[in-house]
Amino acid sequence: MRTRTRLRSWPAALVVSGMLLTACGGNGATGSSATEKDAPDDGTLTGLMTLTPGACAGGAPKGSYFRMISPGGKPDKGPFVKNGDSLCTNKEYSLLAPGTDGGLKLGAFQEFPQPAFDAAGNGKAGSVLKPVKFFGIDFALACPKTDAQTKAATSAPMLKVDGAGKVTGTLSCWQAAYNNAYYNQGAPKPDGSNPGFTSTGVTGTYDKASGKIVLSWASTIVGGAFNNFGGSWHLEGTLATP
Amino acid sequence: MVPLTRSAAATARSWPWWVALGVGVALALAPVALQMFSRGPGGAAMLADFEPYMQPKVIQEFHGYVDAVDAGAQELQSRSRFVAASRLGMPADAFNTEYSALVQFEKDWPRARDDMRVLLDTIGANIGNYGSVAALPSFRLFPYFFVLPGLMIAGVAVVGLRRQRTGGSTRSPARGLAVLGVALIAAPLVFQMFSRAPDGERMLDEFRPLMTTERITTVQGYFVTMAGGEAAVRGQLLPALDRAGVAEAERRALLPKAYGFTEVWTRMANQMAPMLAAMNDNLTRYNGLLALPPFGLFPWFFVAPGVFLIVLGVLTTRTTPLATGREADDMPDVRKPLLLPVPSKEI
Repeated sequence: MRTRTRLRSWPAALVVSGMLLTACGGNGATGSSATEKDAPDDGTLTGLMTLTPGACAGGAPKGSYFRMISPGGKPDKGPFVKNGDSLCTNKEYSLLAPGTDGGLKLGAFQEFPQPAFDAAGNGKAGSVLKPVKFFGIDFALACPKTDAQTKAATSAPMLKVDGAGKVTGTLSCWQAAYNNAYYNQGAPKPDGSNPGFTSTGVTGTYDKASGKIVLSWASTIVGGAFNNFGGSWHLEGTLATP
Repeated sequence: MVPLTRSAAATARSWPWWVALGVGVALALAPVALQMFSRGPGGAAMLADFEPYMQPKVIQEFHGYVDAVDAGAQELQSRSRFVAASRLGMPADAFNTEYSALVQFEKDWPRARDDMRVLLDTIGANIGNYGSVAALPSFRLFPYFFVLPGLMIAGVAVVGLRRQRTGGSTRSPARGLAVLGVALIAAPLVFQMFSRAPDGERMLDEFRPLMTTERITTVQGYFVTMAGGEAAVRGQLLPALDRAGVAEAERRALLPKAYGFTEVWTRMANQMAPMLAAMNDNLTRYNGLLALPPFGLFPWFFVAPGVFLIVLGVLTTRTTPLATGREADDMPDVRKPLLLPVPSKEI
């Protein structure tokens, strides 16, 4: 009888333990504030990654930008689709600018507005990034809890930095809304897979002294009108230091 | 006369029931063997996704978009350099360099136009065939059209066998077999499968060149081509004319078709991109349907077993020649000999 009681009680004990752990510092959707700690002992980065706007003055793009990879292309070599609405001379680059939240919230979700599109199919989300004109139609970015394309659960952006300043992490919630359709652009995908040239995760660097953070990854579009196209993403910004 | 025992008669007449049982089991298992439980609902989902585009009005509208882009492309090819030279003071060579995206569009468009027209024509030509398939019972129910009659046939056959062994009357199950046979023959007639199923087969066949990853990727490329041309006009050429002091009314008069292209582009992208998405997202389902036996054969999958069942039903009710050369009828009482000497009336 005693053994049976113990067996019955262990799931409850696990649940209670999990709740306590979460309450004591779990990295849930609400996230902990940036001022608590940006680089805890395990290297997890939290807080708002304030994005540096992209710019093309002088030729090579700086700051945050995106390139669309053609089917069969590679993230580093392309071929890349030339965005006729790009502000750069090299129209392969589409510049990104921070949205109303200032950028990407680490450890938290940033949802699409409802409705997510206007009558012309322009994406309306503007919290992470300002919508970007792409061939006459705006694409907008968000980091929703549920992938709007596949309805799969995503995970909040999670980044860790090692002692050398190397950043690794996952960003499965990164999603574009364009022309009345959604396209997951995360790495890995919400189910943990890496189809096509999708990166296993995001990589980059973090300078704790200056707070400068650089992230890059690539993600293949699976399904829809742009199946097998994809995005090469480069985000630069700052993360408030403790 | 030698009395015929029950066991001898049963052995001689049981084979029609066993065959009927086999037919029933085969029908019931056919959907499993043909993966109909996944392919059927997949086909239903594909038909639902295609439905918005299998309308004459929609295809006509899409043709209109292609025509508008084509008119713009032809006008740009014939007039844009003249307009650039006369209003911007830009020679043709400089134009070709400055407006390289437009030059690329002019080069790629004729092939894109022709191919997109073929695509739309193929879809348009199959609207009737699509209608025939859509008028059939839902593909989700498809496997059950085999499973349910199969189980019923098998059940009747089992009843027939059991009654035969216990000496009961087999007339009712024999009639049941015949009724099921008639129902199987009637089903394709009721659902007009003899005309609709071949229409579906034609549609699947004619969509073969469209429903491939390569073809869809090619069409995706056409949208990139068009988008590049449209952006060059809207974002480059027209603003340059504006900056050069050419008023909008004059710009519209100079390049009316190019304006039309830019004005139709968003609607075209809004409406045609989802069609491309529907094609792409249904490739697996389409190939699943292709992997099924040809649709034209499906009515016969009901009629053939139906006829067979009727024959079996008749066979089970008729006396069967035995090894002894005698015939036996039903055996109401196993303890009695089946054949008794009958006194001749002449005696």
